[in-house]
Parts: sequence; C-alpha cells; structure tokens
Amino acid sequence: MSFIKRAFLHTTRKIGKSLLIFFVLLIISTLVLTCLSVCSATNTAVLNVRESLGGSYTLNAKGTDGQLTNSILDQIAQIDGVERIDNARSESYAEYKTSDGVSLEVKKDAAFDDMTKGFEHAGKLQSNLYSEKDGLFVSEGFELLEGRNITKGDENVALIHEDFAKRNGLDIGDTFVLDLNGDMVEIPDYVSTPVEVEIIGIFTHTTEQETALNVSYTLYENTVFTDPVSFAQLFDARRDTYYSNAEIVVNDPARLDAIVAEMETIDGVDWDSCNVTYHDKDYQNAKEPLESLGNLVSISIVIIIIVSVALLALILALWVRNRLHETGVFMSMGLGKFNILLQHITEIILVAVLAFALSFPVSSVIAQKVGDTLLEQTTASVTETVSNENADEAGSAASGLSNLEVEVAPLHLLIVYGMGTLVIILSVAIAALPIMKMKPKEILSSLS
Amino acid sequence: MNTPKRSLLYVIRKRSRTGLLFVILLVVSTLVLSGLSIMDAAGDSSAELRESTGTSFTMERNLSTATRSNSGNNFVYQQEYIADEMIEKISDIDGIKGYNAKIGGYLELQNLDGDRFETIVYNKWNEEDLKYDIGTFGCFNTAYDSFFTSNQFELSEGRHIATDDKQVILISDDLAEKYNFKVGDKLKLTLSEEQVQFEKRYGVSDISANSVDVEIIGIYKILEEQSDKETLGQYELYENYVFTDMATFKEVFSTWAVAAKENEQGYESADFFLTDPAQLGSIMSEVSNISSINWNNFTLTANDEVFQQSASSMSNVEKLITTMIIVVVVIAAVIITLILSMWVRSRMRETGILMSTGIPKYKIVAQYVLETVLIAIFAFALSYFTSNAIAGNLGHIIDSTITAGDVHIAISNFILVFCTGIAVILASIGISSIPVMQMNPREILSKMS
Repeated sequence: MSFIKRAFLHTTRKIGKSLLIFFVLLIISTLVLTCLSVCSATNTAVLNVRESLGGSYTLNAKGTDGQLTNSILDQIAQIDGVERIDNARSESYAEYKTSDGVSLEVKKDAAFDDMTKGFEHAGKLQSNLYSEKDGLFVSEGFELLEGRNITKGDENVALIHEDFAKRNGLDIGDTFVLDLNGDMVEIPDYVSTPVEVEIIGIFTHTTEQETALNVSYTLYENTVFTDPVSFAQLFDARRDTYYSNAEIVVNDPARLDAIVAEMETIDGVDWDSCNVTYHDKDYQNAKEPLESLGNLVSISIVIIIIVSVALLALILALWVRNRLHETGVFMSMGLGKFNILLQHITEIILVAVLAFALSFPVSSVIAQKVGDTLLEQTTASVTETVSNENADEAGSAASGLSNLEVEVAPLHLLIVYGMGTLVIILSVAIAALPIMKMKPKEILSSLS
Repeated sequence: MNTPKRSLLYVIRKRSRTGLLFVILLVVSTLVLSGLSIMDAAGDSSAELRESTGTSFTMERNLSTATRSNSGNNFVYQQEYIADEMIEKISDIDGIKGYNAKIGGYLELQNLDGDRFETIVYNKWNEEDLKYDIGTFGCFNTAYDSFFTSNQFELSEGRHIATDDKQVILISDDLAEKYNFKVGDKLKLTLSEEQVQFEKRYGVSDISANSVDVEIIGIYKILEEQSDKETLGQYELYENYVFTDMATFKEVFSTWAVAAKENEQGYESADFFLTDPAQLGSIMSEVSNISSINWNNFTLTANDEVFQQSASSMSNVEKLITTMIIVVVVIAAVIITLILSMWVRSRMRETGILMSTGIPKYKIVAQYVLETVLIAIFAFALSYFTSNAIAGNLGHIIDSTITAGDVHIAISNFILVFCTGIAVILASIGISSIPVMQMNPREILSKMS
C-alpha cells in the first residue's frame, strides 16, 4: 500500500479527527486572509485621510526671470501625484491709460505723501491663470461685483476695482491700456510695449486694507487683474507667457518631497533660484497619529501572522504526537521512516487543500461584511455635521478619495497558501523528528 | 487517589504534552492581549488624530446687529466687545483645551539701558519716524494664536506664552539673529518718547512715554514668508512681530489714554480650541446657552472644515483596526475550543480505562478541566509579560519613534482575557467530553485505534 493510499484511507476513515484538523486549518487561514484584507483596506483608509487633509505647494520662480512658462507648467501637471495646477500668477505694477494714451486717475487720498516718481497713475497689476484663486480674492475679502473672473485661455482682459471704474467712468466692455514708463522700471530710455485690455469684471474689497501708510500704487482700489498673456506682453513682448509663481495641488501630501524632487528634473528652469513652499499644515498636524495608526496595523498583522504560524506548528506537533502508537506499529512492520513521514504530510496537505480552498470564500464574505458596515456608517456620519456649509465641502472632498474596498486579493491568497504549505511540511517533519529517531520497541513501550 | 492529585500527576508526568498545551495557550492569549492593547492604542491615536485637526470655534462681535455710523469714508460700528469674564466662562467648559484673543499695537524694543533697536526693513522708503516700530500683539495663549495654528509661524526655541505668564515676549528668529537675542534675555517693551511725539503731531494729547521690562521666553520661525515685503511697512513684517502677554501689553499702553481705553473695552474676537472635534456641536450649544452673555451682540462660527473633510476617513481607519482585532479575538476563542476538543479526543483510551476502574464520569471531566486550568493559569500569567514585550518591541522595530511604552497591556484587558479564557476552557472541555461520556468503557476501549 503506497503512502498516498494510506494517507487517503486514514483521512476518510478517521472523519472526526480529519474534520478537526480541517477546521483548525480553515480557521487559521481565514484569520490570516481576513486580517490581510482588512490591513490593506486600512492602508487605503489612511491614504484617504491624507488625501482628505490635502496638500499643495507654491513654486516661486520669481528669481528665474520668466522660465516658468506654460510648457513647464504642463510638464509639472503630468507628474504622477500632481492633482492639478490650481493657479499660476505674477504681480507687478502698471500705469493705466485710455486707449488714446491719456493717463487714468487712481485713488490717492489715503496714500503716503511723497509719491514715488513714475507711479502717479499706477497700481498693482496681478496676472492670474484663474483670478478667483488669487490670494486677494481667497483670503483678503475681494469680491466680484459684476462680470466674470479671468480664466485659463483669456487674453487681453482685465478686472478693475469699483472705485477705479467710477473715478474714470469705465464699465464692463470698455477697454483701457496697461503701460510702463522709464521711471517705473528704472531704465531712462525705456520703450514700453503697452497692452490694450477689455474690462470683463468689476470687483470691490470687503475688508479694510490693513496698512494706513500705503503708497497709492499699493492700494486695493488701484489694483488691476489681468491675464498672463497680456502681462507677458507688457513686460517683454518677445517672451513666452510666463509666471512668477504657481500653486500646485497634489493628491497625497506625504508625497510632496518626491513630487518636488521629480519636478526639479524638468529641463529649462534654473531650479536653484526657485523657492518651494509647502502648504500641508493639516497633514503635518495629523502626521504623527496617522503614522502610529499605520504602524499599529503593521504590528497587528506581523503578530497575527507569527502567532498563526506558531499555532499551526504547535497543533500539528500535537497531531503527530497523537500518532505515536501508529508510527511504532508501522515501523515494526518495516515501513520506511521517510515513507511514514510522507504519509503524515500527505494527510495534512489533503485536508489543507480543502480548508484553504474554503477559506477564500469564507474570508471574502467576512471582508465584504466589514466593507458594507463601514460604508453604511460612513454615509451616516457625513450627515451629522455641525454646519451645512461644511457638510458640502466634506461631501465634495470625499468624492476625490481612493475607493475603500475590503477584499481578499490574489496576493493575500498566495501568501497564505504558500506559507501554510511550508509551515505544514516543516512542522510535521520537525515534530516527527524525535519519534523517527526512536526504535519501534522504544515507541511501543513508551505508550501510555 | 483524588481528582486534584490525578490532575497534578498527569500534568507533571506528561511533561511534553503539558508543555505543548501550555505553549498553545500562551501563544493564543498573547495574541489576544496584544490585539486588545493595539486596539486601545488605535483608539488613543484616533483621538489624537481628530484633535490634530485643530477644530475650534470663533466668537466675534456681531456687526450685523451693530449700530452703524459714518465717519468720513469709513463706517464705524458700535457693538459690545468680548470681555475677559466671557472668555473665562467659556474656557471653563469641559472639552475646551485652549483659547486665544489678541489685540495689536505698535511699540518699540529697547535694551535695559533704553537704547532703541532698529527693525528689519525691506522697503525703500524706510521713514525715520517708523524705523523702530514693531507690530506688537497682546495674547492669552500664543500656542492657539492663528499665526501658530495655521503654521505660518512655528516656535523654534523656548516656550509659548500662556495665561499666567507676565512680562514675557516671543520674537522672530530673524530679529533674534540680528541682535543676538537669546531666550532668557531681558528687554524693554516701550512706548518711546519719539513715538509719543509722532502721535502728538497727529493731534493726540493724553499720552506719555512708558516701558515694561520683559523677558524673551520663546523664538519663532516664519514658515510662510510674506510675498511682497518691499511694499510693506517694517511694522507689518512678520520678522518684526512681537507677541507679549495681555497684561504687559495693556500695561505699556496704559499711559496713552485712547489706546488704554480701547484695550480695556475687550476683544474683537476669540478662538476656542477643542480636545475632541466630535463634541463641537454640543459645546457650541452649551456656549450659546450662557445666559450672562447677550448673544444678540456676538456670533459663533465653527472652524471644523478640516475635521469635516477627513472625519469619515479617520473613523474608517479606527473601525477597520477594531474589526480586525474582533476577528482575531473571536477566532482565537474558536481555535482554543478546537484544540481542547482534539485534546479530549486524544485521551479517549485513558477515559475508558478510568471509567472501567469505577471513577465517576464527572470526576474524569473534572480532572481534565483541572489539568487544563492548571496549565492555563501559568500560560495566561506568562502571556502578560510576553505580550507586553512583543507589542512594545514590534512597535519599536517598525518605527523607532514609537517607544516600547506606547503599546502596553492594561490590567483590565488582562483580567478580561484571563476570565474569558477560563470560561472558554470550561465550556469547550465540557462540550467535547459529552460524546465520550455517553459511552460505556467497553464501547470506548473497543473503539480504539
């Protein structure tokens, strides 16, 4: 009788014993599979937390003298992990004129007495890919009263302050000219390249400008927003459209360093003269507890795997020891020790194949249940918000997150099946070692 | 021979079997104990994570119910200010971990001999009159000031100003570097004679010079630079900001009647920070029920955007970890049951022999239970130490910033595992003995392999 046949017969005839070992194997493999799937779902959940906290950086390329062009921006947007270019902007000062070359009036009554020469009809000029993303609109309380914001693709357009519009009788659809003069750029014989722009929007400010000692050309009232194309033409008509800084939003704030490092490999920009400022305070604040949560999951999975392996080995050792009597009988019948060992291993593998196969659907069902419960509770918790305005933000932010699924992945199966089989072979062999060293007489006489 | 003695003899004589069961029980209880302590640690980390969102609410003067009057080009609002007593009352509420309110003004820094320190400057017009002006803020708790909570500034040396500090300041590292100021240095926060003269030129009459000795207790670093420094007055530069305690701020301005009166009337707004953002709603409603404050004059705004954005992902992390541990605990109990039934089954022959010698069935079961419990007591006791070591050391291996103490075994968890473990042993030996006990000795002995 071959060891395979003996193994098969033992397994089928000792149904009770086989069932027990089957359940042990099923439960241990289900435990590990379920925990592995929950563990990878937790990693996704941690990533989701990071993504929901968000991160971005400001690239300040003022020092590169116009190297941050549209094509560079496009290359940055292509970097893996960059969500979008939120805005790109430049700022400077410009002189305002009518299309006929007559200087326009700016607000001066709140200004510092001694005006700098050349700035008598000038104000701050803000160039933006998306004007609504300009800091003045985002955090300084600027509000668009009429018309529309500047957006990507606009050319020869401007937004002006309500006060500036009234002072000069300008309205939406009117045009005026942005210009520079020699005193402003400190070049005596400067030949300017004026740009005619159409007013597409009128704004006002809602919070007081904090300084009382401004020079007139820094006043909110004298600020004009324009598109990057007009801006570039005004300052150097020969050059590509460029920006002095860009706001880049990334998916995962933990990858900011890697993304910036990748950005700095793009040719055509003197990265040494650029400045990068991270905006990841929410992530930085949450970093420590978030990392320890991630670590706790790793610790758990390591403990669970080690303990499972140890348990399996111990149980199999118990199993082999219980077969002491049988082993002695086989040996006295002249069966080879290796043959007996192979029989024992085959028996366990036979049961293990079935147990492992069943553990996949069982752990999948558990994982599915876990996932369903989580999703249910998540939708419920979003509705318990304090203010409705924030709830909207939460809803929209949540949509950009990675999909949280608790599922048993092929890799998990591979780990469990591979390790399981290895543990079975090793532990049966090791447990059998002392028995195999004994003579049949010793074994049979040592029986209880 | 009585049952306890038989149990004891079995345990001692069958050393290797005892050893096996002991190790199995030890391993399983270590798993469960480590799991429970990981769950506790996950709960702590989650609470910390929620707290890290810096959730707060802001109390502000309600300008929409204020009386508005025109003064030149600007509107002047008449509205009650937030008083010290109000802030105190609100900050006493449970769950509020800190608060801040601030008032600002322009002062100068001098050394103890009265020499003035020039400020850092980037603009071109550097007016003689303004050369020494620093933007000064009186604060309750600088740790909760918006410059620090929004990560524009970060304390790089020393400590923050707290409510009971007197005569202390925080300065920027740029200013500290320029004048070689160190934490512990003493300076004067001054309303100087020149400033007084400057104000008098603009028609201010009831004003005289004043100064308060202050100690530098902290130095901050600017993380977010201002974008157009050359267009800012030096008193507007972050580099020249000085934070001081509220009492000192008021004290310096006490010789300037108008400013002192403004400072005494109270604050425009105050921020209150929470330990647990989940309590924001209930705490805000508790605040708005404080009857001594006329809520017609003030508004409360929640600042919980960060928490709202990430709350669901955060709770998912915690729930997943909890679920995993529950799975582990349940499966551990099942495994123990299975192993013990294997154990009882493997002793069928012995059971048969004992029965045939006339020992009552309940005594045989009692013997098995006693043996296992005897082993379990030692295994469970040892598991307290092993799980402590394992959980702590693994944490240390995975991330060296976690000290072994972060994951530790709570006594309550240990007692729970101990009692539940014993209960599982009793139940599983009892149940798996039923089929054997229903048989006669002859059936058992003839059934043997």
